[in-house]
Amino acid sequence: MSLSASRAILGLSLLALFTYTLFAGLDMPFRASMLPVFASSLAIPLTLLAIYIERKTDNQITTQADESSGDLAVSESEVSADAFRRVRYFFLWFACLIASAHLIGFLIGLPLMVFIYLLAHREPLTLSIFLSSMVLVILYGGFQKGLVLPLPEGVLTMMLFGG
Amino acid sequence: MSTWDAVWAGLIHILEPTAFLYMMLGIVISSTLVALPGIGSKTAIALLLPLAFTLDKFEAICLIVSVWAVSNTANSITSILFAVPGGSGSQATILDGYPMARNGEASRALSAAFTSSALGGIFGAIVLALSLPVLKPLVILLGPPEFFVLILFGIAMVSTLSGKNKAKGLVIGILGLLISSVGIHLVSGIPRFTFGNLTLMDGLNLIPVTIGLFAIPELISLVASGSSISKMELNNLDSGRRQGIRDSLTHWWLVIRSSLVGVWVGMIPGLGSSVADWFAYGHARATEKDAEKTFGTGDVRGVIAVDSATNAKEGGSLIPTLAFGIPGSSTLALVFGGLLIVGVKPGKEILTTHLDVTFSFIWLLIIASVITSLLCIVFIKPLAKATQVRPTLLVPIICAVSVVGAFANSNNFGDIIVMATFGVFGYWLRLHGWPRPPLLLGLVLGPEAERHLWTSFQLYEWEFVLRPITGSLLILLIMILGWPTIKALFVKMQGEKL
Repeated sequence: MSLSASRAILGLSLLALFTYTLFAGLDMPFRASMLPVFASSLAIPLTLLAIYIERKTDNQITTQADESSGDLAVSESEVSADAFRRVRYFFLWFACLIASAHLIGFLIGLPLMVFIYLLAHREPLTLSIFLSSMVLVILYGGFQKGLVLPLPEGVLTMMLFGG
Repeated sequence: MSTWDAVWAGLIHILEPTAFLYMMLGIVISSTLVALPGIGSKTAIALLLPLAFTLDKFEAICLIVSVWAVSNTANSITSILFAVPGGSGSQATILDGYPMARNGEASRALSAAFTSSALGGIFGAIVLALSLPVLKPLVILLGPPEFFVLILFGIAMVSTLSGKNKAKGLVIGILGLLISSVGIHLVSGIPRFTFGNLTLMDGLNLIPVTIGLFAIPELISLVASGSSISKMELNNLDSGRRQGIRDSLTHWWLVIRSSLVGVWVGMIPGLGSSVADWFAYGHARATEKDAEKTFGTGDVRGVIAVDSATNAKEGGSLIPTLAFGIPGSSTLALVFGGLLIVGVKPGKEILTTHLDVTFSFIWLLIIASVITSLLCIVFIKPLAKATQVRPTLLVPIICAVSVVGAFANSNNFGDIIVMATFGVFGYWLRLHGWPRPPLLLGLVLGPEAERHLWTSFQLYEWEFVLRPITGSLLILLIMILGWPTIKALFVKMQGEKL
């Protein structure tokens, strides 16, 4: 998907979201609907205006580089085909990280996924083991024991070993 | 007890060896914990509150207040180095601090942040001391309509940071307001935008949304660029440290103005704690020379303005807390709880019979801020070198800690899904130049906005917008939003005359 198509989809998604919240708000009791209706009614014309300005700016030869956008700027290297390939792999790993925390628990899943990430990026084995162990120390020593945060065991480990 | 007696008594109480030791302990605990994403000063105070039962009154005050007072200084570390806000008050530091770190100026950015933070803290404490006699009429002057417009004002201020397309900032700010309405409406009991999901019934928490919106997209950016946070050689760290201190002192007028903004915003209960940084950033961007071109790209003035304000606001937020017993922020509500545990009741009593306690607070703000800033400046070298670490080492570790940080907020796995969702959404917004900060502001201020909107409507119907202060604020708001257009028209008219 091209960047311009993705940009258009983002604008239109916001427009669709505000239209939905407006109509959903109108179905609520007056007191509960006040903020959603007030906010959505303001947001719809503003989104249209934002999309219009964006399209107009795109059509102009000048770039936005002459003024900061109030957020961190995206560099050239982040929008190359190679960068998007790396980002896709990252998303896959991140999804696995969350899934592993859910399935095999935080204390096993997170250090394991850190270890896999490090190995996949050709970091030395000893360093990978050391850093994964450090993550385990932070989770167990810092969060579970130090902050008394009960890190849940995984659904799978609970099923297999009965918690 | 006369005022001067109370000033000295307040100082002597916290300089007693055991009390001083507890203050140092609070400083170390706070500085360490707030460096972990998702673990803020609130968690630290909540963990330490049970200790208050076992301590002497001033020991407990030293421990709890120092944890709260220095958290803003330490918050800047992760904001500048990794674009991960340590807490809700340090988000705007990212905008210029992180680009500075990427440009090899981490040392300078950190040093400027710590120095400004100390100066802001001192300024806030002085203003608090001076304002004690004139507190009441100020806060009583404001009612629900004024609070509602002030909230809109806050969102509009942040939207002015959105470059040429301010509508984008406003849209995202309003989206934040709408996101804040997700969950069961507390008054009517109606579930709003929950789709039957149990996690959404409780609403969306700030911490997972913040980590998702800011930390995850920056990690994705590191992955995408494939290089360390700082692509440049770190400039001489010692000279960077000196330069940062010099920057703060050279821009003393900006420090004072930003601190004033911080104190003023901090004074407004419920509003100050999370927005003072944005107000100060917006103010600096609107008033500093060529700021429109350089802010957001690594301008040290952006860091100075934000860090002065975030620490100065603590002095301001103590004003309603001490005077009226209205905590200026959720963290102060916990400090308030700690005070009650040791038998100190904010309100009239603390300004009369316990005036020494009030001055202990003020001294703690000053001393703890200065000590923390000095400690942080001493450890700048190892901190700055962290920006040279390969992303393949940083990304998985920060991701793992962020996942636990999101979970730690409410021990709910759903919060991790929320974090991941906002991570992807934040990346999408960033990719297409939609500013993320207004969303957080809308989310933070949404519940207050809704409450004040409803109360204003009940009291005055829609005529509340015509009340003198409300009307004036609205006109000012429109002028701020329309100022670039007005200025362009004015310049055009001048050109035609010539």
